[in-house]
Amino acid sequence: MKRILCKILFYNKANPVVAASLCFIGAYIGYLVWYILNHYLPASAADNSYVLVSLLSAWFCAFLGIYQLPDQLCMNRRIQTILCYPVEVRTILSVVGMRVFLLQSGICATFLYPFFLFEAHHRKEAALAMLFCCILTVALDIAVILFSILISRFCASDIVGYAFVVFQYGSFLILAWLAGNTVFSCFHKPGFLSDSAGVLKRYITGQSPAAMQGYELRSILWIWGAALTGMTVLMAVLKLAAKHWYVRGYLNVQSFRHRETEKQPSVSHIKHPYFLLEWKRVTRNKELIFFSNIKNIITVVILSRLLLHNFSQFGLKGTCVEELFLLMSCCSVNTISSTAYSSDDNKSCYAFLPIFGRRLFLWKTIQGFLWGEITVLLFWFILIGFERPPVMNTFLLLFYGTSMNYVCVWLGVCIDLKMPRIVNSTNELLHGNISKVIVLITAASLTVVEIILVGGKWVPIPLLPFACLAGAGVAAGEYGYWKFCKGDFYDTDS
Amino acid sequence: MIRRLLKSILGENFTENNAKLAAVNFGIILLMFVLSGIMLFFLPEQISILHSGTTYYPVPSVLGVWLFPVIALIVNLLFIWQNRLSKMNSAIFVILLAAMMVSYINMM
Repeated sequence: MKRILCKILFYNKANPVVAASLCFIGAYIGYLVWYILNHYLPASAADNSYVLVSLLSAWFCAFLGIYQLPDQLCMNRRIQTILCYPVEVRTILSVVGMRVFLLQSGICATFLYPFFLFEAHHRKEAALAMLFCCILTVALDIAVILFSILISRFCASDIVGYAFVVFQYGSFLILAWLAGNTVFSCFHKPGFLSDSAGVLKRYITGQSPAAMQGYELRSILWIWGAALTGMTVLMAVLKLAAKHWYVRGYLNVQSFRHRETEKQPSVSHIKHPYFLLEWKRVTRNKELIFFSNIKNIITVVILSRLLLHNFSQFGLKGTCVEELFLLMSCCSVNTISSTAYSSDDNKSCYAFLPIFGRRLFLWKTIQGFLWGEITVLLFWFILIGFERPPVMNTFLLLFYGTSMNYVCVWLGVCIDLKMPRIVNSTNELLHGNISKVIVLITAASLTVVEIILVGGKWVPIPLLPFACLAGAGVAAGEYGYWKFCKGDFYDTDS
Repeated sequence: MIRRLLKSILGENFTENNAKLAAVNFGIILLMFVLSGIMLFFLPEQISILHSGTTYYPVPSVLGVWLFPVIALIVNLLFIWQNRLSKMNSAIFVILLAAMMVSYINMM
């Protein structure tokens, strides 16, 4: 029964090739991480590197749980078909929860297996750390499921989608901040890992109780007692919430997108059908607008800092490197363009309806460009407000942002045309979008090449005018491709 | 085997074209593994594959040389899971293969 449910809900089953590939990837990554920590952590912290690894694996597990559990329990449209049959809510929750937990256990095993194999003196600590990670993961999963049920049940149907996006992305930001702080502390505060290892040994695993004072033993008992009570209370509340609120909450989430309007559309002549098609695609999809505007602002700041940190060694101080990375990040995280075809409910009709594929492509590009330009303008205003660059640079930066916006939007739409994604819900579409990553990598590579060319004196003009020229050149090339390579856009009206 | 893998992952979205493209992608990844194995004989003992700012973290070639093929394998599995097999992502794998070879030649 559970196997059939699993197949219906996730639409796939375990395969030996996938399992073998995942095992190989896990074994390689786990060994690589262990090697790097063992060789490059400061000497004082290297002995306790398993603590850092267990914290990182708990971070990955929490990340997976936060993204997978709400998606699979509250957004999965296939659950609606299952609800017609006599299947208990408890069974659905356990199938989804167990699958996610199995993946999370795999992550813990991936990160901690080298300590079993290669560090004989750390086996016991690694086993306890793994147990600790698993308990923490179960507690987090239960809390995430409970919170998702509460959001879906008690948020009004017109805001429940936003609530989920805020919950998932907010949690991701908190997790990223915690992970960043932990890694920073490991490399820059020598006592951090040994202190954490001490806490883990003394208060969680209760090592060497003979050497402990009476009050320490009491505190260990209190901690374990509180943890067990907390877990029991969480389980009881989850059981209650699942029984009374889950189905109503699920239907509430489904009505976020599929609300019927009572208003009768008036008969009118449509002057720009392609613009209307695209405008409706974006404005109907409330999650898409919300996601692309709110989330992108935070993502841009984090991304540009990361890229600047990694590529600033090419020199060129005072030549707008920071500004270029900031504007490039703004342009490359455009979700509206990178989901142009995947988020279009009408895409199955385009193959046989008399539609100009090229014009549709153009309007998808224009739509993405307009929405992306809002973010570019916002960051441009902030830049000129804070840094007050010379007048010439101000306009060149705007030109660079606009040309890169067209370049990235065109590329995003093109990638989504060539390999559209078939998804189960909009939430699934917005997370783990590989098209956006490809656009980001391409745009970052272009900027890095520009910086290298100017830094190595291969190009005799300053960086900013050169970046503007390169951006405009690539944009012109893309426009030319659209104009002359007509066969690539699937015209059915020619 | 690839056909069965795709059928189990894609379900009713499985087509003959998908099977061909997946076979091509797996072929390119296999070629990446083989080429990495061959390059192992020509690369220095330590190669630098990771860096943070100006700080480089060299790792032994035996370990570092598999990073590109593993990344390609992860990306391929993601493409199959998201049902996005197309000629375009085969082209991406060819670009990745070329980038891998260029980086190895630079390191020699």
